[in-house]
Amino acid sequence: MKPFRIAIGATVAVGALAALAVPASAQAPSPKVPVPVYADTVSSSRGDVKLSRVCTQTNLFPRKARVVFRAWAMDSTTGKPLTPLEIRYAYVKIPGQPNLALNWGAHGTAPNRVSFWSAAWAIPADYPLGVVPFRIVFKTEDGTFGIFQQPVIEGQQLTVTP
Amino acid sequence: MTTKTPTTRRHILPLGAAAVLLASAFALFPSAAAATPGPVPAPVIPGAAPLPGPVAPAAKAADTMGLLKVTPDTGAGGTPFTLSGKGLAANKAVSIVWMTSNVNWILDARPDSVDYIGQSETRGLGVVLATTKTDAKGAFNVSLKAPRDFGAIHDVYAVIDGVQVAKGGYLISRTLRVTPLRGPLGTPITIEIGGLGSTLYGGSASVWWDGRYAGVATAKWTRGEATVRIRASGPVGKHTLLIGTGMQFNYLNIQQSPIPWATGGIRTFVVTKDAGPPPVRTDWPVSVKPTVDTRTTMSATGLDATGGANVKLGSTSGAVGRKVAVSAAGLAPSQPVELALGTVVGNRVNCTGTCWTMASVPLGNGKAAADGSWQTSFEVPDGLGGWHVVQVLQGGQVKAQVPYLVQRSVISVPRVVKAGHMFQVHLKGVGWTQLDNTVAVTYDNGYVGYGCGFNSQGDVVLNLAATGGPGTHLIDIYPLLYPYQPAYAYPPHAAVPFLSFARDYPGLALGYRLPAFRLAIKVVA
Repeated sequence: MKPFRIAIGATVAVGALAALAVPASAQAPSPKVPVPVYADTVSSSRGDVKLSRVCTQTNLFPRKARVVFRAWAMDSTTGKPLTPLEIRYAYVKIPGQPNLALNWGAHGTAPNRVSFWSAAWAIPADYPLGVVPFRIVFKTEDGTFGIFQQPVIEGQQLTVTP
Repeated sequence: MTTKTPTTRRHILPLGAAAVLLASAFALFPSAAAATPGPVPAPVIPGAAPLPGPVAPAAKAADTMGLLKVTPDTGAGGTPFTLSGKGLAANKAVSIVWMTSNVNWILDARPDSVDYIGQSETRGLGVVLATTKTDAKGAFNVSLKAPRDFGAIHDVYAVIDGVQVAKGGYLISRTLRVTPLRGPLGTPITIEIGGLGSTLYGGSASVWWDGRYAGVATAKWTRGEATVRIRASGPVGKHTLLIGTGMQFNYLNIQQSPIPWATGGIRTFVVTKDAGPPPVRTDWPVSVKPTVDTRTTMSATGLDATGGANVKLGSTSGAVGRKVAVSAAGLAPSQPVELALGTVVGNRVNCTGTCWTMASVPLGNGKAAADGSWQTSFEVPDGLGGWHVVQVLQGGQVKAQVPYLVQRSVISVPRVVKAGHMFQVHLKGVGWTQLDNTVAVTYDNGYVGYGCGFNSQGDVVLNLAATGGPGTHLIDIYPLLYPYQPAYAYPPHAAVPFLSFARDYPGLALGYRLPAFRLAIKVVA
């Protein structure tokens, strides 16, 4: 199973370019740059259909399984993840579904405890097979957007299977 | 001789074989620079499904995409289904766009050889499956049939004004049809597999008879539909035919893979009697129009293209020993004429330097008539199979040339062999390229080995053991894709019996017609 390796690369690249374009020492007001976003999907411990391994990166989910979206929106200047203190709203936009709010929270146990934005989506039993062209949207308190969109790479996108 | 040797290729000239041939040769053929390897265009395979519709214009995804309801959303090609959408713009023309792929074999076709490199898939190809219109409420409903297409999930989009406004999906599932399911030993069994995929892992099936590996089946040029034939073997009673999954052998836990729908199937065949060895039979591939012009040993080097001479042969292909009529015209009148066949000498075994070189075999000579014509004939020499150039020369210059395909043939096979003894099957006309230098041999539908014809100039004597006890036993000889010397990264489906040779073999694009030989022996105590 293929995690979103390309997506990771793409978002990191965006962040790096943004950092170069806006050096921390600049005195003039920084121009608004897109908020770099990393996102992936992992299996859930819940759902009518459970995958054999939980909390594991995958892009293939059968109907009635639960997709867990994970996301990090980054401050392109400091490189630190944005928390509810800086984010006005964050959601996952899935075709044919209500927007799914992302929540910030800590996951795992010490010393591997980590905080990120997440949301779970129970795939309806009649949801169409195939690629799910979802989008993740962040808006910061200062009005900047960060949008994650899957690279169109065959076999690497979130896909609903029978 | 100005032979250009690509750096990726190593050519060895075995001195013994070369000496024999070169002694009689009167010209050497320089090999051309390597062509650019790439996907070869698919020939038109009779009965194969075409692209399911015209290629759709590029479309962009809507910011807010709706869903299409597809009922049912899983089935074989030809299965009726309905597709509906709602909440769309009213009274708009809608294109139903089906996402699919094209798959081609990758070859490096050159005058000195043909290398087999693998497969190439063009993904994300949208075709218009149907057109319709939304009603005043922005809804539509169409009845369709699932196209005969590669197995896997196909995304389906409703496109309005160049925008994908809603999406659905359809899974083309695997199918298996085996006919007949009973008959005497040697009964030809037709296995039709549908829904093979376009991808490397989903695009083939393996065939197993009583747990023995018979070979691989693919459907790249037949849009996921493979047809293969094996023969019923073994003692009277029930036998198990298993169609396995995966790339070459059997992916035993395919259900845990990213392509869990790429399933196989199992059938029971009943052998009703052993009536002795069935007659020798040759199964030829379909006749297609080649899509690639390159022919081995054919080169414009040294050709007098301005003289206006031409040559025609009485046949375009034949086995070793076949008599072929030759008719040339436009030659220099009343001047000596020579006829020659272009070939190569060498091998691919353990090669570390130059492995082969081009050579010429004299076929005859004479004198052109006063009107510049010349008629003669030749017998296909006992040499390598495959494509060879036949050249008409005058004064050491090639006046005209034409390609000729030397077919492989069975020379002998014993009828009766004692149990536990070795026996030999003799072939001629085996070639030297990675498409035709090797044959794969099954014994009672179990792959037992291969034979190569390059070093022995097309002559192949297969050494086999009479196993399985008294009774009739079947030997089937199939084409094989050769993956070594030079070796490329991960050439799939290679070095095993290629059961789907008749409809989906890369050599078809270059005019090769490689058959399966159906032989049998009677084993006695």
